[in-house]
Amino acid sequence: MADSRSITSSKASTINSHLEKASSFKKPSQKAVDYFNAQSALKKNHSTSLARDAIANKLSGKKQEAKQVDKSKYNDVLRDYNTQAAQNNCKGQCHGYEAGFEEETEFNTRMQKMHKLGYAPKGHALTYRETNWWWKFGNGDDLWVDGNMIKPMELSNRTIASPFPRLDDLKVLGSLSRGRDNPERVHDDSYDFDHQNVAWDDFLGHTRNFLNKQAIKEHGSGTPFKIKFDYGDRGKVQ
Amino acid sequence: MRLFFFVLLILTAGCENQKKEITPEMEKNARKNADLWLQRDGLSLGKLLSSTEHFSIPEPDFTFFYLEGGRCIEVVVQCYAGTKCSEVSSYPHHEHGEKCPIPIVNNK
Repeated sequence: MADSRSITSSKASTINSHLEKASSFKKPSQKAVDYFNAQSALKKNHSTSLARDAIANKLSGKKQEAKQVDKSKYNDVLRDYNTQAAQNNCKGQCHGYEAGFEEETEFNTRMQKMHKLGYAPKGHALTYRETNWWWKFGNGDDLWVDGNMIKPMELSNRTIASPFPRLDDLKVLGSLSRGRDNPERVHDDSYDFDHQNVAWDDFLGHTRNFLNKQAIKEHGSGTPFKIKFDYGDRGKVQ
Repeated sequence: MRLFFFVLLILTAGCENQKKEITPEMEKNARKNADLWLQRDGLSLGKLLSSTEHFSIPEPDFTFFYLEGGRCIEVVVQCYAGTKCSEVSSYPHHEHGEKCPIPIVNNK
């Protein structure tokens, strides 16, 4: 029996026809619609390399175009695009929430449960969406996460959370400090978008402030909280 | 665009090696922020011990220890330009079952 996730030739031709339309239609809004349709078709076949290649090669360049012509559709397209990107990062091993497939109500229920416990499950990497939720609804309570999921790296005399394989680690944690004798263990940090006065030639400092400004715009009002790292059994499913 | 920023980041990576001059005002500010950090965990104020040796990387501008009640919490503070020393992070050695880097004084 064929794998339900693999692309059959008929599906592939459907996808290709959407892609063809996306690149050939002159009417701008139609391009956005076809782009969206192609994304949807690909999403259903997200685990195949063919789908990944098709996205990488044929669709990503159309994002700007779609944005210009139809803003509401663009958001759908972008969501699908991000979903696909997240799925690719997980190499087929993603849970629904990591891949961004989770619906709003499911997500809220899960986050409320996480808030009640005060910690994320062991082996779970915190996502940008989750920290955004905690910022808005977490009342400033501490959030414990599995420290083993963070891979620190050195950059210009600073330690940052490695953006590989998860860009969200860097977006959520930014710069870090860690133990001199135990460098794989990172220090508890805060999630506060605090603006720092930096020297004129401190490029990383200016970048950090700029990204914080963007994050404040994106997040809206909320309460700063501490992110604490656990290296024990907290969050382990019993 | 992301690639551009990434390249810029790498190119400027080697440009930050200046040593900051630490002033008493900065230490005061750092201690205040470290105290506030611990206060959020319900710990008492004014109990921080200053350490001249640093135990974390990158080397912080200030390292403090909270050793009350058998705890060993290392609080590090980083300063940026001016006297604002508000980048605080901490590591509770006792909670992670590690030996405290400095001796815990018996307060009885």
